[in-house]
Amino acid sequence: MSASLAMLFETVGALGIYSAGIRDMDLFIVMVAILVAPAVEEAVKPLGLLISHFEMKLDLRLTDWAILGFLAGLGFKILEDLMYIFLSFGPIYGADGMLAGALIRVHFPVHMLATTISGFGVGLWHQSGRVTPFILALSMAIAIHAAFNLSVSL
Amino acid sequence: MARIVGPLLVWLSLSYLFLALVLQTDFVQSALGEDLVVRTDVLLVSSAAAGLSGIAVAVWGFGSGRTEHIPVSLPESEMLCPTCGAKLLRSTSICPYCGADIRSR
Repeated sequence: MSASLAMLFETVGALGIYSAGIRDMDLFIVMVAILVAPAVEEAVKPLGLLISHFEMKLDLRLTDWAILGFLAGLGFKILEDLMYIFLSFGPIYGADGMLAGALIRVHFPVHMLATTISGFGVGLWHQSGRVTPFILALSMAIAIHAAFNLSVSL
Repeated sequence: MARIVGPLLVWLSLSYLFLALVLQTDFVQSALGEDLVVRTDVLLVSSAAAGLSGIAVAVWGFGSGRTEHIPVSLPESEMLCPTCGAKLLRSTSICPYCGADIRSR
């Protein structure tokens, strides 16, 4: 569910950058990777946790919320890596490219790292009743994701 | 959280190093061809930054006997179950003693 929403909103974000006049393909890709993708993905990855907070009102320890965030990030990462390997690397570079893509992508823990932090923020929100800790945690997760995307886009 | 985030940052640091090595291999370079741009300097700097921050966070998280005490979270106030009068935490949604649904009240 989170991945579907991420694809939808990232498409909208990419169209927004294109409509802003960015026509250079390299710059376009970097701006999508640094501005659009982190914000969209970090916002939708804790969706299950937010549902747990609002609807199910789970009473968990902060560590439990962080672990749930880790697992949400892991699930998102697995799906994203499979899509990149089979839908991007495969058609463009063939079988060797798929293996190369796997060697490049699968070992990075960025999605788990970022969603652990935002999951912890959901836990603070749940316990304190204030949304500010979640917003701060989400901002940190977006910043970490953006920094990582920048480092591998250069 | 630091006990989870710290090791993850160290893992990220090692991943950057692994990527720097993998991109140098003949297999990856031949598989991806001219599309591959190798910036080993950026990867090494990123690895160092992630590693140092991860070690610092991990030392802070595992040190001084911290467990569940998070200073920034507010202590939960207590309330009484409206059905059986048991003392409950405010965030409780279902009373564990009588099963009353606190959320609906």
